[in-house]
Amino acid sequence: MLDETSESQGTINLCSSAPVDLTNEVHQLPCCIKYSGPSAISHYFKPRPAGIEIEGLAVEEAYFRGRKLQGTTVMLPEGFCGYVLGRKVSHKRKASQMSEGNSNCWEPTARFQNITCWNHDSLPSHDDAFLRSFHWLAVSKALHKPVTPEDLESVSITKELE
Amino acid sequence: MVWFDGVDEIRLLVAPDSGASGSEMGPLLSLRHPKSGSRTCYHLNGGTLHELQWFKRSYGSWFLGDYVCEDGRLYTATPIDPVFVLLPVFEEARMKKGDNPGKLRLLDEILSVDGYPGYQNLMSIAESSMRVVCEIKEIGSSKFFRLDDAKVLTWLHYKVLQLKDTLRTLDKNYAVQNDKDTLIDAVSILAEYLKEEPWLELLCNHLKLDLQEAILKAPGSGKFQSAEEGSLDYPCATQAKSAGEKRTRSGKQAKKEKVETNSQNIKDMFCRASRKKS
Repeated sequence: MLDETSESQGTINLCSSAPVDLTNEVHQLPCCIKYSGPSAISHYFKPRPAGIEIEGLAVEEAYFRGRKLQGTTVMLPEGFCGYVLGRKVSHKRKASQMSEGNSNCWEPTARFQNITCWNHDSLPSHDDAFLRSFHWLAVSKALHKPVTPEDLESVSITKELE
Repeated sequence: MVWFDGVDEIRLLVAPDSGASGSEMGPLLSLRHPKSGSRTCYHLNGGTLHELQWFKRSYGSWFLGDYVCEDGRLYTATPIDPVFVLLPVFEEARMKKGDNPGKLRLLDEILSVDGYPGYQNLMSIAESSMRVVCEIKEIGSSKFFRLDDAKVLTWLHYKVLQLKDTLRTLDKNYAVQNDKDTLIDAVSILAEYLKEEPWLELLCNHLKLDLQEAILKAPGSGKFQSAEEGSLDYPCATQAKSAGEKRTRSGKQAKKEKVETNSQNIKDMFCRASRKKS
């Protein structure tokens, strides 16, 4: 289905600067919205501090379609950045390429440094599934840090001492 | 002119902050997943290989300023140790039979994998990262590589120890767990990147752990799902199917919502507060 050249696999270009900063404007809702596109969100969705704190998390509240939502804003871990990627429209199309629409080339149109995660029917918590998925970023760092020959020697020595 | 003008499709990605340096295009490479062998998308950026994962709630969408995004997925691009990815390739290349150590091979022969030209992009990465698990012989100007079992085992052991230490600092749930359980957790995360034979088996023997216990620790894990075709193209055939299946399952759940991810074990690791046997 996909041809063999790496060109057709696509690219993600994270080096071009994304001029727009959406920090404090990225919200994960606890419901499905069957629509993608512009909307006057800031007119009807107005989060504000709830004045309480849970497990060190500052709780915010907002109303959406008559329902009260409670949420918290979490910074992305240090060294990471959030990107809103848009698919670049490709102008060169080989006749031989199976086109499923567009190219697989992505570029940042906006950046963000935090995410506000909203719950319905419950206060935010460190045990929230979506927030815990951030732990993956920390674990991944430890798991994939390259190992040096010196590191290996330290393990061998430990083995001898056991 | 608003940021979403002319935007056709959107994905949210969390990735290491690369700054605005240079104009390097980051190619997406099609490589074999080190555990399942299935065609998987990786991202090469700034000389580092990254794996793509995604997380999503059963029901979720995004508000991005004044833009709604129906697909509530969050993608992550995180550096992956190239040794994980190259281990099966080097293993095949040495053609080890029984007790003999196998063949020393040239790097460009090792990285010529049928149907996967993407490995050719990893030549310099392979040279620097695989020396820690290989025996290397230089003959003239040519370098020959051969995987060394003892070095691989030591490498795996080191990884487990690193991971164990990190898990303990992660949060209170891991901190109060006993040492053995944390060890098993560490091994079962590592197991996401290793074939059972030979490496996972070797590692479990070395650590005196029950292999089955390590890979079956999280209910629903074990069989690695082929939803690892994590390019940003969504939905693609296999992903749509498995995503659909997952949605039905979680739709029938009572109240506790689940987070789906294309990596089964990682989901179970990180999306449940307590992992006590139930």
